[in-house]
Formats: sequence, structure tokens, C-alpha cells
Amino acid sequence: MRDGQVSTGRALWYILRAAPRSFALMALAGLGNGGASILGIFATKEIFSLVGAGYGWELFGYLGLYAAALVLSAGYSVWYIRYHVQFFAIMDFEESTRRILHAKSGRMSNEVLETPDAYAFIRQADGARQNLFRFGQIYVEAVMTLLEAAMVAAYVRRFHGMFLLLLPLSFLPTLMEMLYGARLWNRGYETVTQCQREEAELEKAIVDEAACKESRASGADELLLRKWRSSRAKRDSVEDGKSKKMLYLKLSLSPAECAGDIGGFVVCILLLRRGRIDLPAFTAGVAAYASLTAILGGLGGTVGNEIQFRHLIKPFFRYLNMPERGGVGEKCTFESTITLENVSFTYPNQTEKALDGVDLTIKRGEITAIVGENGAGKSTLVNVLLGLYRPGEGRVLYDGVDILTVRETALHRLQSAVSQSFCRYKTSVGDNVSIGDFAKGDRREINRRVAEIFPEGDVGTDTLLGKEFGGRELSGGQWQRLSCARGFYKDGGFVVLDEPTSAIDPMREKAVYDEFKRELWGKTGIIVTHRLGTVKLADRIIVLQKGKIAEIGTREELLKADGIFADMWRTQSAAYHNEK
Amino acid sequence: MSKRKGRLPCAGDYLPYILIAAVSGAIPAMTIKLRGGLIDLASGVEAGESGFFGLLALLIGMSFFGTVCRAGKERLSERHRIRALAKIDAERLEKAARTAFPVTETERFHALWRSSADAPELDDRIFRAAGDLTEIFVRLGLSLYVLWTMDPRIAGGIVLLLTAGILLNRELARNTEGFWPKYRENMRRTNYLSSLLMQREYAGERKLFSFDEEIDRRYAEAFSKAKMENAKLGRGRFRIEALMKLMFAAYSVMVVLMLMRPLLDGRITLGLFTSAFYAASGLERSCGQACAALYDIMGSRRRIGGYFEFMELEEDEANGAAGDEPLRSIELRDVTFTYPGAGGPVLEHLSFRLEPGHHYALVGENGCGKSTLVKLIAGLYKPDSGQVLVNGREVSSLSPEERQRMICVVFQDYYRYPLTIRENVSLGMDRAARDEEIEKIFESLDLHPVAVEGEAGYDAVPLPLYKSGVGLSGGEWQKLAVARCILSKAQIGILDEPNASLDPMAEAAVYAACREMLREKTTIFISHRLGSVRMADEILVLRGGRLAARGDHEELMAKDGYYSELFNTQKGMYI
Repeated sequence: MRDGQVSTGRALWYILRAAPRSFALMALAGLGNGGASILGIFATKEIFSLVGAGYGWELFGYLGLYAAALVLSAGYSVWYIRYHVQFFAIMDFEESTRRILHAKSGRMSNEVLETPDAYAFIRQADGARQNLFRFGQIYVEAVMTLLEAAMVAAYVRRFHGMFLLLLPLSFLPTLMEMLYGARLWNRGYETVTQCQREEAELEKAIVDEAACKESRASGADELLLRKWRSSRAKRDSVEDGKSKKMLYLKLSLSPAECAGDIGGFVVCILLLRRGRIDLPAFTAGVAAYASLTAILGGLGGTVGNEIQFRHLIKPFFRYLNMPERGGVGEKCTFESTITLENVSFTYPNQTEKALDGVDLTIKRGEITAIVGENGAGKSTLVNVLLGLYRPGEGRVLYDGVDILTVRETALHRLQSAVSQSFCRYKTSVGDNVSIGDFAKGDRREINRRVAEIFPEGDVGTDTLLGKEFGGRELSGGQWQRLSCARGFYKDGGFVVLDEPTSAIDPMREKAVYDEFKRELWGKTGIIVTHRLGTVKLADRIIVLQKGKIAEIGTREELLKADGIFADMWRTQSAAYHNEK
Repeated sequence: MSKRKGRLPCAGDYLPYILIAAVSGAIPAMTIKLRGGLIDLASGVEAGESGFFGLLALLIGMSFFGTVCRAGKERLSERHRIRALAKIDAERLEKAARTAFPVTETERFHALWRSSADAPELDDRIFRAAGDLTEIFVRLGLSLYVLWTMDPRIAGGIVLLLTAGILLNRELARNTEGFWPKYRENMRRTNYLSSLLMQREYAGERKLFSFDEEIDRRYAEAFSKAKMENAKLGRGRFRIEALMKLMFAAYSVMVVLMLMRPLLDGRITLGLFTSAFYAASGLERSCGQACAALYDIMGSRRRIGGYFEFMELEEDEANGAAGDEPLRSIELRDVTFTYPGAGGPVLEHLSFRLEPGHHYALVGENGCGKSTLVKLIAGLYKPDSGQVLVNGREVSSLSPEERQRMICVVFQDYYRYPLTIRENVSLGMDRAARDEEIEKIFESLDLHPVAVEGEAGYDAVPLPLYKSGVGLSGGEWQKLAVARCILSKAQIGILDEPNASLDPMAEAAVYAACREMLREKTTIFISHRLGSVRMADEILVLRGGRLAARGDHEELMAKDGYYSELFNTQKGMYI
């Protein structure tokens, strides 16, 4: 699924189209830079043909031209490369590519992200955005550089045909650099990144806030350090080997490098000595050589990086190639029933079915409890019911309509949920509630809900949360209550509560459940819970086991049936029965 | 900002590096006259046949030597980078492991850790800049001397340019101090908003609440604000750089005019004139580089201060003598503990004594001080007043190793160590656990992770760190931590809510297994699920930082107080 290779050509086309104006300006700037070089060479030649004659207006004119050429090429490096590209072109590009990614993630169904490496995968795709620009820049600059070099070469050819020799010579250092870069960049790449990742994990286990106390109490530090050192030594020996190889390569290629360094001067001076050119032409030749090495020298750095950037931008395209959910219908209703027809679900890269042939009908106005051991498939079932996961087999119907035929937004309009893996939004407290339904904008309700959670009044709607952004931190229980407020703030007719009190102090759980009873009034609800006492809220109980519905019925029916539910109930009540 | 002086590692690398840099710097200056001579010979200004090819060979030879020097210089700096980086990183990490635990909970520790992460890179920059500076100064100095002999004003012009460059660079440095940190800071908010729209942890709510449109709008808003601020930073830099370029263009013109006088006077030849012209223009880059390198060194020295500060954080003191004596008692005497910056103490005048071989339970509401008490007994905190004693000795005075031999703690927010399963469970042992031992305990905890089914067995790392890595669920990790405690040779086992990630069925099984397997240890179970711990020999009820009651379940229920009220409320949730 993740392969979706993209050819360099298509990637490039995509990038250039994403910011046509930026790249057009880049080409223009390159041409200007080439023009500046020619102007400089021309001025140098004229100056040298005039110096012998002493000071004069003509000389001053050419000196002015020479200065203008310098200013022009300075404009290219200082204004264009270091200012415009860095602060405008790249930024604009970054913004638009990120929004492309945002839109893409809106079109994907959630289950495709349910892999262990999703976090790293998304990070890499996101991290590619500046590199995409750089990748495009490499190609545009390479073309422009060659064009500039050709311009300069064509110009100096007028003085003597042999001046064309300057072109290959000045290209030598660049060629060398490209050779080194391409040959050594890949070397040990896998080992190095693997070690780096391992070291980062080990470091985290020593320094992370969550790890410090345990690592100290258990003596894990010592072992972690030992492993860190050995990983580091392995990585460093690869790096050192690479650096040594580089030295040998550079030494063995040093004659060529040297030829590139001084070859232009040698060619010019030999021509001068033979009397083929005069001194002004000689100076023009030397100036041209300096320009050519400067122009082509930049190319070495960029083209040498091409292979690296090609690697770095891949995840972006892999992300864009991820399968999308689809669905076009705008109309989705829940007037009578939600039906699962023989639904099975398997997580990506796994073989075991998390849900296996589930048939289920939920009627409007009914409260259903789902119970079962950890890993029985409770949360998966809920995600499929909500349409967040697409079933591998079978269909999910809302009022008889297959939800995959309608747009996801149309479907979710009908629902709301509180999940055990609730989010902690590092924005204001009010935003943490209103994010449930931004369009609603009921300030009074938000204030009321916030005041219920923080009766002391030290936290209000505008209080900023999240230490990273200079805000307050809340306890796990407070965060979860905020997520409940968010879930109930949204007016969904179908509400799912997936272990909504997992982080709340068991001493206070009871009060929270009493609140749920009120909130669920008149709605259709699903409660996933481990506390069997709370199933009293429900009209019906579903017991899940290994992805299948094992039992279904009212509490009384299930206790009478003496099956799994009755067994669970006995275990729990034994703990709270009054005698030992 | 602290300007504390500290030593950087691998200082011995500097001498050869600086020497080779000096040699590289000398070559271009030495070729000025050589090139001038060659031009004169070639253009027939000076007569003489024989000298030309000799000089040309000399020039080529010097250039070749320069190329070799450059390769060597690059290698030396790479070698230093690799060695010093590893050394600094290792020192930081070892220091972090030695830092006293309460310090690690402060924001300062983490801030210093983050800022000292730049130290290796800064050290590398200082090293490279030192070499560059040497090279440039040698080159500038020698070139200046040569130009001085032609017209002192040319040399003076360069000195002027250099001074102006240094001044402008200082301005630039002042302007761009914290340039990248500020840049990153501006982008941080946009990155966070973007992560809401992309990361998996937000995927469920993102879809359900359809907040992507509004958040994307906020992202764009925050982004354009950050962009403007960053551009403002960039404009300052641009102005100064542009001014320097303009100054140089003016200087280049002046050089021609100044060099013409000695040429017209016949004091220098046309060849030398040409060569000097190129040399003078070549010095522009050197001037820029010299200024930049100088400020790089100064700026980096200043910023590396965070590293030295980090290295001076308070450490755990270790002065106890090792001993494997049997446990006689755990005792708290009038212990009061307050978190720094908190309004009041979490624990107040707490005293109790625990006997060896008993199973204790510690219960209470969130925030009553349960977890603080665990950290005090584990010696991670020192009480403000009073004493925490194990066998009559103060816990905080024991060395970390001694504490580990004595006490094993399973924390509720167990950490997912990037270690193999075997290493994970063997942390409290002197050796690696054997397969049978692990098997037996896993069996009794009903722990059958998929991760051990591979070829590596118990030597698999249960993290998706490696391509083949299979992870563990939260419940499985927690059981792994419990297994570690069971295998540990420590005599005291503290389990701080080992059931938070387990469902009630699994929880009952884990408790039963723990009671069975930890029979030889003294245990303290901490829980706020009262049904789980009622079988303990004795239950300590904590309320508001004080001991509200102690006794076994029946005694406490009979008292009809706080405990029985909590118990009955919870009962409603489960039955």
C-alpha cells in the first residue's frame, strides 16, 4: 500500500506546477545572474585595454559598468537566494504543500493509519515539504546554471576558440563534488538511521519525564546507557569509515581537482604566451573562468544533494498515493436504524480479524452497552459503527443506505462521541469544547460546561492549555471530562461513549455516569464499558469475544442465560461483595 | 546568560587542524607574485625564456599541494566532529542519568537538556571556525603584505573593509541573535495546528467533529503571521548583507584606480597589476568569511553555556554501603512533603510502620498523596521534614544501586523501554532471566504477547522501532512491568495501580497471581479500585495527605466511616 513509487519526472512536474511563479522567478533570476557575469567579463576586458592609457572618462564608465555587474550578481545571492527564497518562496510553498496534505488526510479513511509506523510515516511525509521545493530548485537551478555557463562560454569564445576549454575545466571541481556526494551518501544510510532511531529511543528512556522515575528506581539507566554507547560506536564507525573513504577519494582525485582549480589560468597564460590573445582578452578569460567556477560551483552542491532530496521527498508522494475513502452522496439520515451486515474488519498488516462476521441492528432511541475483555474488538466495532473504519467485508447501513456511498462529513454530522483515547488540544479551554462543533458557536453553553468541570473558577473558557505554549496543565481526569463536554456539546443524535471515564478517579466515576444518563436523554447511545454496574443505563447489552458477538440481550436475560456476561458479573461482584 | 567557562572535549584535535589550515591559507597569498611574474613573461613585458615553465610548474605544484591540504583539513574536522559529538552526547546522557530525581521533574532540567542538545553542533562550529579563521587570517595577512608593497592604500582599504565588515557583522549578530530559535518558535504553533490535521491521534475526533476546515483556516492565519514575523527578521539580515556587498563593489572600483598609479609610474608591471587585481577581489569572500567565523566562535561559545550549566545540575548523592541484609521494617516518621511551587503540603505529619512479609494496600482518592508516598519510599524524593527509614536507615541516603536491590516499584505510567522482553523483565536481577522463568511468570499472569512468537523469542524488542517489531498492548506492557517486579531480587515490591490498563477480569487475575508470586516479599499495592485490594493483610486509607484509617477490610467496613462510604459508592459501578 505504501509503495506507490513516483518517477522523478512526475514528482518534478508536480512540484513545478505547485508554485509556477516561484520557479519562473527562479529561472529569471538565474538568467539575470548569467547576464551579470557577462557584463562583468566585458567590463574587465575593456578596463584592461584602457588602464595603460591612464585615467579617462571612458575608463570611469567601464568601472561603473563593472561595479554594476558586481551589484547585480550580489542581488542574486543576497536578495534572491538568501532573502526571497528563504522567506517568501519556500514559505509560500510550505504553506500550500501542507494544505495539500491536510486535504489529503481529510479524504483518507482512518483505518489506513492504523499501523505501528504511522507516526513516523506522517512525520516524514510532512517533513518533506521544504525538501520538495529544494528538489524543484535543484532542477531549475541546474538547467539555469548550464544555460548561464553556456552564455558565458559563448561570449568568451569570441576571443579565442580555445577558451571553450575553460568550460569542461571549470566543471571539474563540481563534477568531483557530485561524484563524492553521490557515491558516499547512500553508504551505510540504513545502519546510520537505524542507530539514530535506536539512540533516540534510548535517550528518551533516560531523560523523558515519563521515564525518569522508573529508570532510576529500576536501574534501567545503566543498561540503557550501555546499549546507547554500543549503538553510537557502531554508527560512528560507519561515519568515520565514510569520512576516511572520502579522504582517499579526494586524494586520488586531487590531480583533477587541481586541474579544475588552476586549469583556466594555465590555458589563458599559455595562449597569452603563444601570442594568440592579448592581455585584455587574457583578463577576460581569467574573469570568465572565475565566473564559470562560481556558477558551476553552486551546481555541485545542489546536484550532489539530488539523491538525498529524492530520498526525502518520497514519503510525500507515498502519502498522496494512499487510498482514499470516496463517497459522493450528500444525504445521510438516521431516522430508524443502523445496521451492520456481516461485517468483518482486519487491521492493516495483521492477519487476525478484529471483527468477524458481525450482524447488528441499532434502533433509534435505544441505549446499547458493549462489554468484553481488552482486545475483544469493542473499540473497533464502535469505529466501524461510526464509519471511521471501513469494514473489510460486509456493509454498514444508515436507514438502509450504505455509508460508503455518502461523503464522510455528511455521515458524521449525525454523530458525536467520547473516546477513551481522547485528544488534549493545546488551545483555550473554550476551544476544547467548541471544537466539537465549530459551526454551533453557543458561547453560553460552552461557558456553562466549562464551569461544571472547573467549579473553583480558576480555569475559565479563555484559559490557555498546554505547557508547550505557555498554558496550564490539567490532570488526566480533567482532560477527559473536557472531552466529554466536547462530545455532548455537539448535537449528534447518535452518541458513542467508549470508556469515557477511563482516566477519571473511580471515586468520582459514579457522578459522571449519572450525568451521562441526563445527556443521553432522547438520543441513541452506545456505551463501551468495563464497569458492569453501569450497564444498568442500557436497554440492551452486547458481549463481544474475539471479534464476534457472543451474547446479546437485556441484563436480566444475560444473567439468566449464565454465560460470559454472568461470569464477568460474578467476578466483579465478588470483589465488592461484603464478605471475604 | 551564563558565561561560565568549561572545557570542551578533544582539545588535542586543534593543533594539527590549525597548522594545516595555516598552510592552506599561505598558498594563495604566495601565488600573487608568481602569477604576476608569469603574466609578464607570457605577455612579453619581461624578456626571458627559461623561467616561464619553471614558474608555471611551481604554480601548479603549489596549487596541487593546496588541494591535498584541503582534503586533509576536511578529514581532520570530520574526525573531530565524530569524536567530539559522541563524547559530548555521552557526557550529557550520563549526566542526565545521574541527576537527582526531583531536579529531573523541573522545567529547567528539560530546558537545559534541550538547549544542551546543540552543544555538539556548536562545538563542531567552533572547531571549524577556528580553522577557517586561521586560514583566512594567514591568507589576508600575507596578501596584505604583498599589496602593501605595491600601494599601502590598497592594503589600508582592505583593513578598512575588514573593520567595517566586523562592525556590520556585529550588528548582524545582534540583529540575528536567536534568529533560528525565534524562527522555529514562530513556526511551532503552525506545526501544532498542522499536526491536528494529520496525526493519527487526532484522526478520530478530526473526522467526527469535522474540525478540519476551521483548523486549516487557523493554520493559514497563524502561518501568515509567522511568515511576516520571519520576513521581518530576514529583512534586517538582508539590509546589512546588501550594505556589505555595496561597500565591496565600491572598493573593487577603488582598487583599480589605486593600482593604476604604481602601474603608470612603472613601479609595478602589468602582470603584477593584473594579479594584484584578482587577489584583491578574491579577498572579499575572505573578509566576509573571517567576520562570520569570528562571530560564529563568539556566538557558539555563548550558546554552549547551556551545556555547561546542564553538566552542573545537582546529582544523587551516593554514600551508603552495600548490604543484602534481610528486611526488618519500613517506617515513616512524621513525614511532611511539599512540591516546589505548590500551595500546601501533599503529605502532612505522616507516620506509620510496616512489618516484613505482610501485604499492604494503600487506597485513597486522586490527589491524596499515594504516588508521592511511593516516590518517598523509593527514595526518589526527600521529605521536607521527618524520616523515611528502611531497616532504620534513611532511604534517601542509600546509593541508587542499594535502593534498587531493596525496593522494586511498578509505576502506573509504566515506561515502554526500547529493550528486549528478556532485558525488560531482568532489570531487577543480577543476570538475565532464563526462558523457563519468564515462561512460568507469563503463564501465571496470562501474558502471551505475539511479540515473542518470532524467531528472536524473548530477545525481541516489542516496539515498532525495528521493521519486524511487533508491539505490546498497554495491558501487556503493564503485565511485563509486574513480571519484572516478581523476578526482581528486591525484598519490597510496590505496585502503584498495576491495573490501570487492564480490564476488571484481567485485573482480578493479575492480583491473584501477584499475591501468589510475591509471597516472599513485602508488598504495597496501591489502588483506587477498592474491590481489588480488599484481600490485603492491612489497608492504609490516605485522605488529604494524612492517614485516615488502617486495618483490614472488615475492620474498616465496620467503622462505617470514609472507607465504607467509598467502597459502597464504587460498588454501584461494578454490581
